[in-house]
Amino acid sequence: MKMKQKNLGHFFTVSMVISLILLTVIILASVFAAYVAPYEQAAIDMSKTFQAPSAAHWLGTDNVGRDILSRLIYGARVTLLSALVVVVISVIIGVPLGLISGYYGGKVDNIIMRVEDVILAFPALLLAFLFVASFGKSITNAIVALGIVYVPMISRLTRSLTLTERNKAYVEAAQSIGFSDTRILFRHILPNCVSTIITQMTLDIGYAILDLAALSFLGMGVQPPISDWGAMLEEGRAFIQISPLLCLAPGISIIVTVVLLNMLSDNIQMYLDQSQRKLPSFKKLRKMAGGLIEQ
Amino acid sequence: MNSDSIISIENLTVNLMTTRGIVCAVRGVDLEIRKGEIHGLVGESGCGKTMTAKSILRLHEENRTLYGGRIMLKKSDGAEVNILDIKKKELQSIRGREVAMIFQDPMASLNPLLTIGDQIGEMLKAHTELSSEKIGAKTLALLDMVGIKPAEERSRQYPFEFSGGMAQRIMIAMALSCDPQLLIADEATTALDVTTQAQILDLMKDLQRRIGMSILLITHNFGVVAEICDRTSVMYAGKIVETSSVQELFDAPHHPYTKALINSIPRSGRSGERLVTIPGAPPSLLQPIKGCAFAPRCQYAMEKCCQEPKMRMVKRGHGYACYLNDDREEAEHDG
Repeated sequence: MKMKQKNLGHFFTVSMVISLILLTVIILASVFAAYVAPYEQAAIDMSKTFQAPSAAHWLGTDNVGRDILSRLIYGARVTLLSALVVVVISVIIGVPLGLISGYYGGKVDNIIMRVEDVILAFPALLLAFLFVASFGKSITNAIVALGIVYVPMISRLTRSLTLTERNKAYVEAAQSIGFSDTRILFRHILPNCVSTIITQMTLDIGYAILDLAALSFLGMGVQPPISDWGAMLEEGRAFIQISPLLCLAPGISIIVTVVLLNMLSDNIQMYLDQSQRKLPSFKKLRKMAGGLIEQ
Repeated sequence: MNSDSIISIENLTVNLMTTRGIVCAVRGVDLEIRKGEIHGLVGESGCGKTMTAKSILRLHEENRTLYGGRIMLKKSDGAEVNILDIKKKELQSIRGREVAMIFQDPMASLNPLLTIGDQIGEMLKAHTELSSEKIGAKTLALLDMVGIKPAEERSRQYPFEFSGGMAQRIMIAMALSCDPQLLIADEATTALDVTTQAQILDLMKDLQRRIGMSILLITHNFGVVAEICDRTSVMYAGKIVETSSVQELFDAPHHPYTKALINSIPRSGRSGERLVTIPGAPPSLLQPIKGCAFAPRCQYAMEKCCQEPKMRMVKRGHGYACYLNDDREEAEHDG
């Protein structure tokens, strides 16, 4: 009889479901911003400035009468997408570097790690400033800069994971079989590291949102008329006493998204690490065992 | 190199750089493995058996290891190469195809994230130019050959779904997939229970007869040696002290270390007696060793032993490195 082993432990814990649903809502809203948002993001209406929340404008309006909710939804698009791109860039560069330096060690490792030390020695934002300042203010430059700044984080993690994997017997067995280094690195070592790397990625998206917001807040990121949450914060700062919602709305959005991402990454990590996984209750376990456990 | 040997190790030395100093793990090993034989390599822990075996595939970390001597391999196309000399590319074509190796812990030797069918198939893909259908068929045939049934279903399972003995069978299937000339079994049965051990040994002997490859069997278990080996070398402190056919080794061991090892095999029917051991421990390989390395533990040690004894032949195929039983010496000893 062919029996499918039931997977013990829930993937869908309560916090996992909450974070997944809310993140999906945020992502869907930002993707379909044109249909979801009640107003155009740049629709100016000078007769309705600084309005309090109402049925027409759920989160009120800003200094030139734009609908804050609509701008928030459009802003999510830029914020989330650019954060994702930042992380993807850092993974594409950082993971192979980490694998190589962990696997070969010696001189190669030294060179890669010392270069990354230099990057780490500067605060991430400062380095991003330098990059944007020398290549021009634009969201693309901000993304590339942050992507590079994030490389050491991912590659150091990959390196230390590789160091532990490298000494395991299956790697030696793979060497004794005559596999090439590239094959051993990407087909044998990398898959065994990938769970931790994914967890770090979700965490990094949260950091990237914050850093991008900071860059935009300082005017180094997105340029008007496009807007993201950081830029909205910056614009609202001048009017914080007249209408606090101008700052609160994007600020809370950033916090919520980052917290949700952290929750997601915690849950992923918990699921991938068997020993941390939440098991179903004893009652359920007994039912699953189907009478195998004596009462 | 003799015409009937496939690997001949000549004066191999392996020095490993560690944080505690340079370890002379192998101090001049001569070893010849003939076509179609099962050659045992016996010795206490830490005497360089595994070090020697790994050197055959050059598996030590390149930037921390100094090799000396030669390891000549006769490839299946007839060409002779020195494994310590060749480029990495060529080495990779030898690993797995000409010489395959299985390890002590079969569970850890399999990649936990790939199905075993994938792992065997990957090996075939790396070394042969078979189409993917043929690879699939051959994978199943291999699993069937080592007694994993039903092969089709089990090939889709992951390593954790197998027991240790089964995993070692898979490792053997993998090692044999490219028809190597030599299989190195490094303590391949040590981690298994006695019944499984016997099964794996039977399997190895059976396959060896059918395929006609050679096996270098590393073990510290004389029972295993007696069971399946044709010839055996005894190693001590990075050197081979005695080589002979198994029959002769048990009947007439010449080196005191061999004698002591054979003496210390526990025998049934002698309950109550103390187990025979060899007093002392093997010397540290961090310091250079002068003379015979076994002398400090040897009950026959004499003054001459502070000079390294050379390998002397009792007859063709049986040699030992000791001054004892040398006719002239023995006369002196008795007198």
